[in-house]
Amino acid sequence: MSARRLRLRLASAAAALTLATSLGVALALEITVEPPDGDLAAAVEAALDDWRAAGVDVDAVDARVSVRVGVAARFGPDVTAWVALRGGADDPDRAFEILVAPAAAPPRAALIPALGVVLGGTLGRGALDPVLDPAGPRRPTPADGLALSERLSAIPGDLNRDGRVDFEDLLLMAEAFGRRGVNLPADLDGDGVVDTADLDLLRERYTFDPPNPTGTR
Amino acid sequence: MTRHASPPPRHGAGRRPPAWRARTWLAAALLAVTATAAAAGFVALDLEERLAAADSVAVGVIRGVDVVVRDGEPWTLVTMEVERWWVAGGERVATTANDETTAVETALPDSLTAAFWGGRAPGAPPLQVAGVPTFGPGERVLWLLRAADDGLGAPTVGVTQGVWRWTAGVWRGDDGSSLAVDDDGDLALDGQAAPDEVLFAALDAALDALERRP
Repeated sequence: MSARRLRLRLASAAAALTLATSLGVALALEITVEPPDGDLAAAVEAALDDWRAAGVDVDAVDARVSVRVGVAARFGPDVTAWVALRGGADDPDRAFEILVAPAAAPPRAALIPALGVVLGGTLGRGALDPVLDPAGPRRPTPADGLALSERLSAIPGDLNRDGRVDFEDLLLMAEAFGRRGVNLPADLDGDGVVDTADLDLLRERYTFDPPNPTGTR
Repeated sequence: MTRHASPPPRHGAGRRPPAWRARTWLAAALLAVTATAAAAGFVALDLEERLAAADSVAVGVIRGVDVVVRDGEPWTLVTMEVERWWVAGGERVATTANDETTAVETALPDSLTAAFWGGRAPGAPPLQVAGVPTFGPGERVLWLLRAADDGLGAPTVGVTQGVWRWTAGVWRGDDGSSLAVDDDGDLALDGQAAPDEVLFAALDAALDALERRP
């Protein structure tokens, strides 16, 4: 590695550290912004503050994220930001990438839903669900924050949100098995399809409850 | 109305978009810019906007899903065997038996391939891209696509909003809404389910109405 590249890497790491510190977040949330200063970095900070104001415990999230402006041709008029997750589940370098559309000015608005995807996606809860908002510009509300917090605190595989992963969740997954789409509750790994990978995730957390004496559940 | 002889769809290469399509693109671009003032990662489009934005409109069956690596990035290639075209290469396709340009249909390709950023392939780390629809062989889909020669990350109009899958007798979108007809027989979201011939006629009428726009 050349000295110049090494310096750049060190500078990048330092920028991530500085940003995380300045944001007041735990270092578990490692955000690297390119360039490390300027409007985009400020927009990241502002968008995270928006989620905090909506009640989301941003500091508790463990994720690596890089943020930069993307190439215009990748976006088209329908997209203000792409959120990608690069690396497999066992990849130690697995990280999110947020690419903001060059036309997204100011970028803060594009970053709010994009960071929402990241914040909700770190637990593999099928949270790669970008926001479609026909109502136009808005910031996350307490209701958005509550929904995201519930997602973060929920047990993966607990599809009916009753606090355990059991036969009822298995039934819900069976009903959804094979379905494709965005934000499907049973799509636990968030890859857009309910398949055996999701079943494996459910099985990891499955609990066998004793029969209910009333026979009702 | 004037129907255009349709060249094979090349998704934007060397064609001049109709005026209404150019206006719609501009409107969508402006919408995208204004929406960034505080909200969406993707821009919500109504049904008319989706139709107007499409450079290809077709129905068919997914026959192939392959992942290739381009410049170190995985791209998923989805190939659909086309049953019927409505728009190809940005041009309306003749659809009625009495239409003088019907013969042009025979020159249309019997499949289309769309490339989506992301996927899993040897030679590149797996890449999931939020919100990009997934496809499986054997699925029957009605698809609206943008021209994507320049490397668009997801060519489906509205990322997920321009695809409906034939599911249990209904054309179902990824957001759960259905493509159907309303009480007047016009194409609508979440209307009444209709046989293909009725729905396809409504789609024809909707596209024709867009073309007639001044």
